[in-house]
Amino acid sequence: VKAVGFAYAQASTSAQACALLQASGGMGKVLGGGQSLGPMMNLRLAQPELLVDVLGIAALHACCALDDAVTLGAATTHAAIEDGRVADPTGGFMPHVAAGIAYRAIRNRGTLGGSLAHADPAADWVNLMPLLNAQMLVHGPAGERRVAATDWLSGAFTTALQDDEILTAVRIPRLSPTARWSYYKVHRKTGEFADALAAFVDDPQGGARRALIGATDGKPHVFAAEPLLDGWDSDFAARQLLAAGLKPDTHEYRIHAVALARAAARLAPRRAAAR
Amino acid sequence: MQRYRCRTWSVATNKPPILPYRGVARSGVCYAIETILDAVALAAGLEPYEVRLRNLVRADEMPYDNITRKHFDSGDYPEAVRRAVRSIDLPAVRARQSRGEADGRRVGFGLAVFCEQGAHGTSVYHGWGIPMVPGREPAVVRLTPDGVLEIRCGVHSHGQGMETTLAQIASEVLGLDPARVRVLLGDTANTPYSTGTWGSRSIVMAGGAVGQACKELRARLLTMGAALLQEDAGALRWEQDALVGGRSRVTIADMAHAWYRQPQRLPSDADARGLEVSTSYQARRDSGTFSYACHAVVVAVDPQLGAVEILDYVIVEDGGVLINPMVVDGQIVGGAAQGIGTALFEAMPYSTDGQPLASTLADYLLPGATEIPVMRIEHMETPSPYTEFGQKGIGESGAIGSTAAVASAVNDALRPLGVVVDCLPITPRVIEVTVAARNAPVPA
Repeated sequence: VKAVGFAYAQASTSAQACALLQASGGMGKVLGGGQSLGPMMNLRLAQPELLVDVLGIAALHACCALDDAVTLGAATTHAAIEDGRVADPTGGFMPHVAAGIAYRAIRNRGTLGGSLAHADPAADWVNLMPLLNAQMLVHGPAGERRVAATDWLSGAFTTALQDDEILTAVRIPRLSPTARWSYYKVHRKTGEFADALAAFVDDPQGGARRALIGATDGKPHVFAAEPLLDGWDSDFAARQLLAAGLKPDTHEYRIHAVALARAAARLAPRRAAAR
Repeated sequence: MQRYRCRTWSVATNKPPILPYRGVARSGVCYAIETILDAVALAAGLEPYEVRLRNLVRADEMPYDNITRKHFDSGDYPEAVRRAVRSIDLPAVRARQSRGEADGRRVGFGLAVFCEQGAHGTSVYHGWGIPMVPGREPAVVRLTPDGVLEIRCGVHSHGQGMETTLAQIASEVLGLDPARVRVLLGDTANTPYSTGTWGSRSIVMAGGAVGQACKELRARLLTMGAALLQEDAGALRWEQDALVGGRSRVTIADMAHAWYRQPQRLPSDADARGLEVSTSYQARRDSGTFSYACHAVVVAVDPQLGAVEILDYVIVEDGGVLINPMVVDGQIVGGAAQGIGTALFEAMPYSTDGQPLASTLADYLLPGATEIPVMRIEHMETPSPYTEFGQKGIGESGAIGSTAAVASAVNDALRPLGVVVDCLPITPRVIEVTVAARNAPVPA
């Protein structure tokens, strides 16, 4: 299958990319690694009139390690995160998640920013970023703005990004050295998107004891997880599954419940080892 | 089996769950038969393989006409089952099942036994009342002036490796290096008309035709070689691609050169038919070859999520005399992968208003390299008494048994939970929902 005709432009600055998008009147799409957009265009599920290639914007490749956070340019590939070629503020959490995204060939091309902007609710980064309390750095006609990762996704394939804005970087707070994490992804086969996701971050030193229920139809659900970390409060777990938008007595509810329990089970020995 | 009755229903639909591809209908029939045999084993308190061993046609009964008038040509069906069960180490699997898994998964063992009729001809298809009836299979072979052998067949190779296997057959008969054999397939401008590649027939029918054409060509070359060497044909012998006499030798390339470029070297009454042979082939019986196999599978099933992992996969296959074992292995593995897809992944759902819901490969799941296990294949080689070299058709076999074997293994794993999954594909959702329904408290 081949894409319908489209125009292609390379931007060399964020401002230029935004101007191109603005001029397209909402018919432009940003092209990062193209690992989702490319197939969608070939299947004609997406038919943008203009592709704005942002991989030539130097600022999108910049990664910067600060004392309290790391900023990763939107064009950082999953493979660069997996391989540790960029700073990791999460004690191995992000490289672990990166290594589980699709296939290596896709990770070589696919980008952090592209995945976040594409916003498939079953993808990894849109779920992980709110758990890590990250911030999205957005460039638009009015200049720079920051969006909390918890406010990023408003629904499937829908983000806080406006048509004439681009995501330039993600700022991820550092976890303490004693922080522990776990991640459990349910999927049909290697390379497939998740059917259910659950994850924990336990960082008492940094004041973050959170859990995630993700890969639902809607927003990722991030919540304070003490009742599941110091023992297992099953009523609390059930309330969180409901809050994530899952309906009781459904397959989706049950596999998310299993993912949550198994993520907790993975975390327990790591916390014990950290003491 | 003394009595047999079969009722079939045909449904006309534009929403078929599976289209005619390798093993068409056979994988479904095998799944139905093996599922029933597993149920018989359960009711009789026997290992499923025992039920098969007691009921399979034995080697000393071959050739065997079964109740549906299929003529099984040769083989030792029970031995295939015994070897598969031995290779998978069933006692160890049963011991592992009774120990249980640390991760809560359930291990299951399943098997399927089937035979594959291939290369069946005129009497069979005419008897079925099918409009297209295959007959003798044609082949043309000819030597070119530079001593290359061209093979022209109407069958087509879309991954079956016939470029290799047909060249091998010619090489076997004529002693030519396979690199000097060129195979042309399935082009009506250049090749004989044929009903084509289907029904696991090509290696038997086209292979037989190429073999016979090459034998005819060899006979003509013998006469020609005797003239060139000025010796009695009876005193000559073949050494690779050369005829060797008491005083000297002549290669096939020499003879081709003489025929096309130096006819003065040949007597005036040389064979006018030249170095191009057109022939057609029919097996000694056209009731078909019956290859057969036993697939034995061990799976681990996660009852909470419904995920299935294939832990071990053994195939004991008898394809008669194997022209090329590597090509046969490729056919078997590819077919088994297809059947695993049917068992666990592939589905063509529609919405209630008829909208197809899996119209791209993002939605229509195929098994990939990570989902297909390394299969351990053992070959038995019982020649078919009816074919040119004893070969049998195996093109579809991998796909026939794998769906049934995997389904059998999944249900063996789930049996202690008191549930049976009786639909395909066996997706994680199907397993999880089935197990959850069993566990759910009965509403008051």
